[in-house]
Order: sequence, then C-alpha cells, then structure tokens
Amino acid sequence: MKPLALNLALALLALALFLASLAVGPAELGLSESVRGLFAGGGEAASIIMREIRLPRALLGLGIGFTLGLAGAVLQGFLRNPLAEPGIIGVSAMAAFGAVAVFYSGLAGAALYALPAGALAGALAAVLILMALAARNGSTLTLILAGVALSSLAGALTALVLNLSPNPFASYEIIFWLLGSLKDRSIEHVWLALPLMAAGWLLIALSARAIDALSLGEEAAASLGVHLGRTRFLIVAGVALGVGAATAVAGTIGFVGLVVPHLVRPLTTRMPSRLLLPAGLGGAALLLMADVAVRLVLPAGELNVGVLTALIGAPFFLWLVVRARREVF
Amino acid sequence: MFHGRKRASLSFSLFLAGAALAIPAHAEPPARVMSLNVCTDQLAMALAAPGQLVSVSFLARDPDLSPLHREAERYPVNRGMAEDVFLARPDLVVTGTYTLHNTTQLLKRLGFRVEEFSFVQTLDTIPRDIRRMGALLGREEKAEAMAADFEAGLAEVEADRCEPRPTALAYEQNGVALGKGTLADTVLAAAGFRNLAAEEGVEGMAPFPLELVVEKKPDIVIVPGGDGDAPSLGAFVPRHPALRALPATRIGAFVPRGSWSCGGPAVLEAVKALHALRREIKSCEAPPLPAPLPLEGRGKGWGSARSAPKKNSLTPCGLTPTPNPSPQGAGLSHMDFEFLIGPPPLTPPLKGEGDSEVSAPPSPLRGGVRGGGPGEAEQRLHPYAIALPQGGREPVRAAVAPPCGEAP
Repeated sequence: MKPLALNLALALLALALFLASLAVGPAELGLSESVRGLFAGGGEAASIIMREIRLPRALLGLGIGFTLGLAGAVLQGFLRNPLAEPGIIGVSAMAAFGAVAVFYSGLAGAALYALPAGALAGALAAVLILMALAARNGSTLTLILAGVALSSLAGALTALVLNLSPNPFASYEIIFWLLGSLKDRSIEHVWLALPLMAAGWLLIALSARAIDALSLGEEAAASLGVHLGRTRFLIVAGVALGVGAATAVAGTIGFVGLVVPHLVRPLTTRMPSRLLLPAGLGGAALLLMADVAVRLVLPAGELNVGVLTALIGAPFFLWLVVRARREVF
Repeated sequence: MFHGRKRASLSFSLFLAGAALAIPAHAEPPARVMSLNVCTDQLAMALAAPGQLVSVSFLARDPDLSPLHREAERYPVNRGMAEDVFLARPDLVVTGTYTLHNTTQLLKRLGFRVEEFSFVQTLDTIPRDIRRMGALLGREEKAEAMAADFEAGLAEVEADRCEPRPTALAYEQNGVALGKGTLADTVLAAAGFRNLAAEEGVEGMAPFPLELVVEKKPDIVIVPGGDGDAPSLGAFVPRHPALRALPATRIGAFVPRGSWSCGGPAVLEAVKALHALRREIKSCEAPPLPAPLPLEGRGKGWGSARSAPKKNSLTPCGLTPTPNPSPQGAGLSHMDFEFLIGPPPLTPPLKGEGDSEVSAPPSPLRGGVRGGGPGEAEQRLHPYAIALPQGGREPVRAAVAPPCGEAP
C-alpha cells in the first residue's frame, strides 16, 4: 500500500473512533445534542459532559494511543527486536512507579503535576537501564528478560508505596497503575500530558533517518554518517517523555505498542522510519477502540482499558514468541 | 468512606439476630470492656463508666472516621488483633459484625464474650444500638437518656421538613455514591432531601458515573471533607471540573467531619447541618413557578436572584422566627409530639447527649463542624427559579409530622 494511502486510511479510522469515543457514555445524549454541547457554550449538562468529560477522554485516548504505537515502532526498529514494547520491557511499569512514588508520598502535596515528573524520571531510568543492557548484548532474550525483571520490580515497588500510604484508598488504586484507565480524566490531564507527549513524538521523528540506517547494523550506520550517540539520546528522551506522560495520566496500558507495529508493518515498505506514523495512528485507533469497548461492555462498573489491551495483546505476544522460535531454531 | 465498606455487604437481618442476643439487663456489668471497631468505640466511649473501657480501636483517633476522636486520646488503642484481646483479658469485647470477622471467631473459640454490632445502619438503628450498648455495659439509664435525646432531636428536625425537597448526592472517593439502604440515605431523607443515587437505583455503595451526576444536576453534592493528609487519585473524582462547572449545584463537605461515618449519636449533627443547608438553599412551599427559565439564563449572574423569592410569607414552614412551632404540633396526636414543642429547633446541638460523667473535653463532636455554612467549600448561590421535580418517595417516618403546607 502506498504510504500516503495507508496513513490516510489509518488517520480516518482513528478519527472515526475518536468521534465514537465522544458519542459513548452513560449519559444518553442524542447526536445533535452532543454536537451542540461540544461546540456551543453555556452551563448545559450536554455541554459539560462533552467538554469536561468525554472530550478529555477521547483526546487522551488519541494521544496516548499514538504515543504507545510510536514508541513500540521506534523501539522495535532501534533495538532490532520484534518483542520490544514499552509495556513489556518495563518502561511503563517504571513510569508508573515513578508517578506513584512522587504522588503518594506527598512530596508535591496532592498536586497533579507531580505525576508526570515522577513518571518521566521512572521511564527515563528504565530506558537507560535497558539501553545499557541491550547495547552490550543485542540478543532478543536479554532485553526481554531485563524487561521482565524491571516490570516485576517496579510493580512490587508500586504496591509497596501504595500500601505504605496512610490513605486507606490508595492501595485500591494499584489496579489503575497496573492496568490503566481513561475513566474520569479531565481536561487538566490533557494539558498535563499532551505537550510532553508531543515533545516525545518530535524527538522520535527526528531519529527516523538514523533508525533506517541502523537496520543495517551499527557499523554500517556509522559509516553512513549516523551519529549513534545522538540517535540514542533522541530515542531515549522521546520514549521517556511520551511513555512517561502517558503513564502518568492513564496508568500502564500494555501491548498497544507491541501489536500495532506488527499489524501495520506488512502494509509498509518495512523501512523502520516508514512504520512510525502508521504505527502511531494505528495505536491511537486501537486504544480508542478498546476504550469505547470497555464503556459498552460494562457501562456501570467500567473495565480498565488496560485489561482489554492485555486480553488482545498477550495472546498476540505468545504467537510472536512461537513464531520467533520457529524462525530462530 | 470507611463506614460504607462496613455497611456494604451486610444484611439487616444480621442486626436483628444480634439484637436478639442482647443480655438481660440485670446481669453484673462487665468491669473490663474492650472495643475493636471504630463504631462501637463511639458508643462505648460515650456510655462506659470511668475505668470500664480498657481500650478502643486505633481508628478511634482518626478525625475523619471518629466523631469522638479527642475522647479517644484518653484511652489506650488496640489494632483489633486477637492477641491484643488475649493480653488485655477483658470481660466483654464489643465489635462490628463485618470487620475482623476472623478475629471474632477466634475470640469466641477462646472463650471471650464477644458482642457484635451490625453496621448496616440507618437512623432507625442508632437508638437501638445506643440502648443495646447501654444494656451491655450496665449503663441503661445513661443510654436511655442518650437514645431519647437522639430520637427527640431527630424528630424535631424531621417535623421541620417540607416540600419541595432538593436533590442531594453523597459522592465519595472514586465516584462512589451512597444509595438506598445506607445511613447517608436516611440522613438525607431526615434532613429533607431526596437522595439522587437512591432514586437512580443505587443500592448500598456503588459507582455513579460522573456523566450522570452532570445530567441529573443535583442541588447539592456532598463530597468527602478534609483533604486528608495523604493524596489519592480517587479523591480527584468528586472534585472533577465537570462537577464544578454545574452552575446551580453546591458542592461541599456540608456535614461535620466524621459525623456520619458511624451510626452513633453524632449522626444527628449531620442531620442538623444538612437540614440547615436545605433551609438555606430552598424556601418551603415556594410559590408555583410559571415555567423553568431558559437554561442559558443560569450563568453566573444568578446569584443576585437569591434575594428575591425565598421568604414565603404565606406558609413559613419551619422558618418561623419563633422557636415554638405550635401550628405544626396541632395536627399531631403522636407520641413524638412532646419533642416538637421542646427546645427551639436547630439550637446548636452538641451537649445533651446526657454525658455528665465522661467529663468530655470541650467539644469533641465539634471537631471540624461548621458544615453547611457558607465558605465551607466551593459555594454557589442557588437559583431558586429552577423547576423542582416533584414526587419521589416519601421520606422515612413521614408520619411524624404532616408536610408543612398542610398545617393549618
């Protein structure tokens, strides 16, 4: 498929799901009512519901899905590892731990802005640890094992911090941090996360040419004039910013970054740089779709969206492992 | 909050079963009593003779859960563990039926006398619980006085209710609402409100979507008070910008801190605070309004409308400046009649729980009171001109007094 056509199709899909996300919710608003609520002002219930509840949710679904898809694509290309994904290699889990540590310890009071700061630090630490490991030993296995260890450690530390919190409700919130959710987010969360995620997208986009060259191997890439240190910095910072900000406002949403690049790759020229935009758009579409589905499946209780992405993603992951084994051995 | 979890999965029958087991009143009062539950703590601290109560639960010192948290400083605390009890060797252990169930079983096996109080509580169960605790502690007289005071205070407030009843929503952390069968539900009814959650079919505690709150536009939303010292994400939900954007909804803690976390005498504080709020936001028997005003009109400028319609000079239900509302009493042949002509309505409560001996510190119940007063939280002046939905269920005990409008 032509790159332009592919991107256009995926963008339309994401847009359609974005509109679907705006249309779904426990308050039964008619179409014209929702549209009027979204664009007309005033204190009408429809306007408040659309602008303060559904729009932030849809925007976050779009932005976070894009971030996760993009991060998955760039990590798979850069690490030359089909299983690389922010959730699996522990970046999301570390980001969640960072957010939890800063927020619940009361370091910054009960302020929301403490969340992204902690999450960025956590994500950054995770990416740096993984880069240090993967740079020395490029094997698929090392990276995944390191990611498993990092995820478990971060999950345990998250539980520890939440259990130590004097607030009796804090420990229940581990579900949010381990299996993220977009429920009841507000426009404040959008302003908090979206600029950071956009900065992450920009940094990753700047590394696009370099990861194409890197697919030929590091030495070949260096001979093509790729500055490895710079590329590494761009990707580390870009992934940490994007995944950190996403996790800070929505918890850990796994497997989006794993599934989407594999789904769209056959439709591209298989150049890692050409995969970035489609993977981002596909990620946005997948997350929006999952977020619409959780609201339809259990309207009252509402499933965490991370549950659904894991239900889709984990079997896919197993299939990838089986396929990889067949190819390697 | 906490109280709700205790309440949540219990059935009322448990309470009846427990009440039937109450000991005969003439038995020797236990010399050493231990309370393992924050709600039994309240009753035990209020009723026990000096030196009778050995320890209370550690939660009794938490101002968000325990109205008598200052009192609790004078007692040793336990963590509700069987080992605590074993070491203290009390003659009687009082606890809740829901929390620490395993501990209770273990203690019974070890031969301790354990009395359980159900915390499926409503306003009706509170006097019974007070009397039962009094009987258990051998303090029947004091308990009787306290229970009677409670019933009198409640009847006084309930007699003062009137139509229209504004809608209220008790909205807890993570967007959980207190629905039918909860203490909050009966408190709201007694104070003259309709419980939105119960009308929307919420039983006990259940998540109530933010969108529905916005759609139903309750007149007041009661959110957890006090920031607490430790942050949690769930605390952000009742403070979501969407709620604050509702032009006519008042959001605040409104009830004195901790006052309705347990079914005890302090619940009356919550009833009175909400009753005062109800009087503040809507006048009784408002004259029939022509038609709901266009929604666009409900912007900020509506505060000024406040001075207009509230004082209805025709039938000033409950708003009589004179403290003795005899017209209301006239229609009553009920035994509660005496309460109605008792002290003036809504005198600041506090004392009068009959505790002459506990030598209470100045005012343990008034920890963070002032609920419902202006300036408590984000306040908005209420536009009186909104059409009021009529109907809904009759409040509990409506028989005590006729609706105000019917009084001669």
